Amino acid sequence: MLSRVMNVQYESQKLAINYFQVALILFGAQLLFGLTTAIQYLYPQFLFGIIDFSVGRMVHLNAMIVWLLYAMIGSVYWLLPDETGIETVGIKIGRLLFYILTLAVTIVVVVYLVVQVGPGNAMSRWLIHEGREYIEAPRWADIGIVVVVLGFLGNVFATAFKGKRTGIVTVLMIDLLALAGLYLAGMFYTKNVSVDQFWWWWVIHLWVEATWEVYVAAVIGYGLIKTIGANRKIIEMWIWIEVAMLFGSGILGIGHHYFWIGTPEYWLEIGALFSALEPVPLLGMFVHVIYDWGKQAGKRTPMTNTPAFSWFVVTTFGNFLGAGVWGFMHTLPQINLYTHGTQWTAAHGHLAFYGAYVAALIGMMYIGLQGKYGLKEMRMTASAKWGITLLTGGVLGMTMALTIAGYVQTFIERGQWGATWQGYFVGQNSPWMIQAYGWRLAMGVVTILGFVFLMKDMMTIARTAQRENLKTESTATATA
Amino acid sequence: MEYLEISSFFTIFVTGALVILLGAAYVSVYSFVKIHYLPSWAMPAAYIFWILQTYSLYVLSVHLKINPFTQKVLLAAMVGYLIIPHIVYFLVKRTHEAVEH
Repeated sequence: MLSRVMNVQYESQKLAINYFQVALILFGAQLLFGLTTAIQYLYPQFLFGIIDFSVGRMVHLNAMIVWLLYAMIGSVYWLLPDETGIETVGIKIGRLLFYILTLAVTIVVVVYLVVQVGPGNAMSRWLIHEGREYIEAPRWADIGIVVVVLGFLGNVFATAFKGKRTGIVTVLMIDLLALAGLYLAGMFYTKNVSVDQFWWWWVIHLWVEATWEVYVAAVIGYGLIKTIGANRKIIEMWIWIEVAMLFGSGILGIGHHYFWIGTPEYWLEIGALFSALEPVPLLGMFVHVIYDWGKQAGKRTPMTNTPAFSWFVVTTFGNFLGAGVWGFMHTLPQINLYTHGTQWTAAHGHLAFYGAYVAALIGMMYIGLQGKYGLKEMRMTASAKWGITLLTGGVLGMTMALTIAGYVQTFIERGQWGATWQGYFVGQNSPWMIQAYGWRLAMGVVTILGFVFLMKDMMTIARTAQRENLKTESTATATA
Repeated sequence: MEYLEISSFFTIFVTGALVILLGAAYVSVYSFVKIHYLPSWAMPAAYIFWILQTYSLYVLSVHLKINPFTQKVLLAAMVGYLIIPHIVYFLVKRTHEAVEH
C-alpha cells in the first residue's frame, strides 16, 4: 500500500525535514524577489514605491543566506543520529529553537517588506535592519540567531560526546563552531566604514570560502557513503585533506576583499597570492573525482538515490566553474580594480553559490526524502530531470548573461569612462548591457520553472518510488 | 599599480578563464592516463596543456603590467598547478591501496 506516513526513527530527522521545508519556502522567496529585481533592471518603474529595487535585492540576498543556513542545520540534524548512532541530545530544545527561529525570520521578512527603511539611528538598526549586505537582520534578531545557533551547537556537541564520534562529525564540530563564531564578527557596529567592512568580510568571506566549503565537503562525504556506498575511511581521510587545502588558501584569500576598502596596501600582495592559489584545491578535488569515477566504472555499485547523487555531481562541476573559473577571472588586484562591484561579481556569485551550496543541499534534501519514507531506492523521475536541467541551465544562462553585462560595464563604465557618474549611465544604456539584462531575466524565468519542477518532484517522488519498489517486489515474487 | 589598456580587456578575461580551464584539461588528461582510460602516449598532452596554461598566465601578466612581486606569486601558482595533481593522485592511490588491501 502506498503510504505518505513519515517513516523516521529519530526525532532529530523529523526536525531536519521541518528545516528543509522552511528552506524550500525561503528558496522560493529568494527566486521570486530575484525575478522582481531582474525586471526592475529593465523596467525601473516596475513595483516602484511598493517593493523598490533596494528592498527586493535585500530580500533576495538574505532569503538565500537564511535558506542555505536552514538547509545546513537540517542536514546536520539529519545525519547526526546516523553518524553517532543515538538520538540527538536535547532535541526538544532543538525543536523549540526551530520554532523561535522561524517566527523570528517571519517577523524580520514582514518588517523588511512592510516597514522597509527607517531613519539612520539605533532604532532602525535594532528593529528594521542593519544595512549590512547579506546579513541585514536587525540587532534583536541577531541576538536571537546567536541564541538559536548556540542551542544547535549544544545539540551537536552533546550528541557527539555521548555517541560515536566519526571523522565526519568531528570535522563538522570544528567547522560549525568556527561558522557560528564568525557570525559574531558581523555584529558590532562601528562608525568607521573601513573598520566595519573589515569585520563584515570576516563573516561573508570566511563563511563562503572557508567554513561553508568545509561543511559541504563533510556533508557530501556523508551523502556519497549513503548514495553509492563510498568507503568511509577514504571519505574521511579526504575530508581532512580538503580541510587543510581549503583553509590553507581560503583564510588569507580574504585579502581580495581588502583591496579597496581602506585597509593597508600589503593586502594587495596577500590577496593576489592566496587568491591565485584558491583554485588549486578545486583542481585537486577534480583529480580525486576522476580517480574515483575510474575506480567505480565497471563495478556494478548499486546507487540508492539517483537524484541526490546527480545533485552532488552538479556541485562538483558548479563549484569548479563558479568559484574556480569565474572567481579567478576577476580576483587579481589589477583586474579587480576595474571589475569590483560590477555585474561580473554577480555572475560569479550566482554560479558559485548555486554550484557550491545550492546543489549540494538539494542533494541532502533528496536523501532526507528517501529516509523520510523509508525507501530502499529512489530513481530520477521526469520532474527530477526537468528540475535539475532547468535550474542548472537557468543559472548557467544567467551567469553567461551577467558575464556579458559585467564585461560591458567594466569596459565602458570603468575602462573608457574611468568609473565616473556619467560613465555608469553610458554603460547601463549600452545595447549590449540591455540585451544582457534581458537574457538574465529570461534565464531567471527558466530557473523558476526548474524550481517548480523541483517542488513538484519533492512532493511526488516518494509515491512514485514506492509504486516502483512495489512493482519490482511483486515481479520478483511472481518470478519466484 | 599601472592602469590597463582598454584594448587589453578582452584578452585579460579570456586568458584569466583559460588559466583555470587549461588547468582542468591538464589534470583531467593526467588523471585519465593514470587510471588507464587514456593510453600512456597521451600523457605529453597533459603537460602541453600545462605549458599552454603557463603561457596564458604569462600573456595575462603582460597585459596586467604586473609588478615583480605578483610575477613571483603567479610563478608560485603555476608550480602549484604542476605539482598538486601529482601529490593528490599519489595520496588517493595510496589511500585506496591501504583501505582495499
